[in-house]
Amino acid sequence: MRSLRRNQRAGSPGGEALEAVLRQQFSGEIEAQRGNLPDPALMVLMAELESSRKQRTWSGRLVSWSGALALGAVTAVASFWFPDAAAGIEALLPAAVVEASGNSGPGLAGGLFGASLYLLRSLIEGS
Amino acid sequence: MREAGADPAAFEKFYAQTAAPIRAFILRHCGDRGSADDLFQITFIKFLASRMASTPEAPEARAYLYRIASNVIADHGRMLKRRDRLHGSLRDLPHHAQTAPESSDPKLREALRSLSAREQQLLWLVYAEGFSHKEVAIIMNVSRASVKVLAFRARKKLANLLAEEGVRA
Repeated sequence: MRSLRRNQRAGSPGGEALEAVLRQQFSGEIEAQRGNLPDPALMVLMAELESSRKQRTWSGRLVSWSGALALGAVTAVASFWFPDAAAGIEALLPAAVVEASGNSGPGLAGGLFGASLYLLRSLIEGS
Repeated sequence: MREAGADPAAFEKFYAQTAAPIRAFILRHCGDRGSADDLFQITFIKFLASRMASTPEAPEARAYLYRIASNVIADHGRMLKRRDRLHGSLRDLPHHAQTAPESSDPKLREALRSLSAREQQLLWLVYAEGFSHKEVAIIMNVSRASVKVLAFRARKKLANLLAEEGVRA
C-alpha cells in the first residue's frame, strides 16, 4: 500500500493508485444504478411518442400556414381576372382566411398576403 | 428511432451496456434523483431520435451518447442558473452528488465534490468509461490539448486533496 503522495509522477499525478481509487469509486456508482433503470422498451416508446408529437406539431403548422397563404394568394390573383366579383370577396378576405385556417397567426398572415396582392392589383390598374 | 431504422434487439443490447453508467454519470453531475431521471430519459430520447440510433453497435455510439448526456446536463445547469437569477436567490445548486453509494469513502466523495463539474466529468469519462483523450475531447467539445491539461490539473488537485486527507490507495 503506497500513499497517493508517494505515487505522484511528473506525467500523472497520483499515479496508478489514484486511478485505482477512481475506478473503484466510479464502478461502485455504476453498480448502484443497475436496479434503478427503466425498461428499454419504455424508452423506445417514449422516443416514438416524442417524435410523433413533433411531427404533428410541424405538419400542423405547415398545413395551417400553407393553406392560409394559398387561399389568400388564389383569391387575390383571381381578382386580376374577375375584378368586379373579387371586390366583395377581398373586403372579406382577412376574416375568411382567419376562419379557414382556424388559427389567427397564419390566418392573418394569409389575409395580409392576399390584401397586399389586392393592393398591387389596384396600383397596376391605377397606373 | 423506428424511422431511423433502429433494431430493437441492438438497442436493447446497447441500453444494457450504457444505461447504468449514463445514469450514474448524470446523477453525479446534476445532483438530485428526480432531475437525473428526467435527464436520463431526455438523453436516450435524443439518442433514439438521432441517426446514430440505427447503428447502436457502432464503436462511436457510446461516445455519442455521452456527448448528448453532457449537453443535456449543461442545458439543465443553465436552466437552473436562469431560474435562480429570475428568483433572485442564491440557491445552493446541486451540482455534485449526494449520489455516490454509501459504501464509498466519504473523504474521496468529498474530494471529488470539490473538483469542478468539468474536472469530474473528465475523470469519469477517462476512468469509469476508459475513453481516450481524443474521444473525451469530442464528448466535451474541447481540444485534445485542453483535455490533457484539464486531466493533469484534475488529477493533481485530487491527489493533493486525498493526500491531505490521508487517503491511501
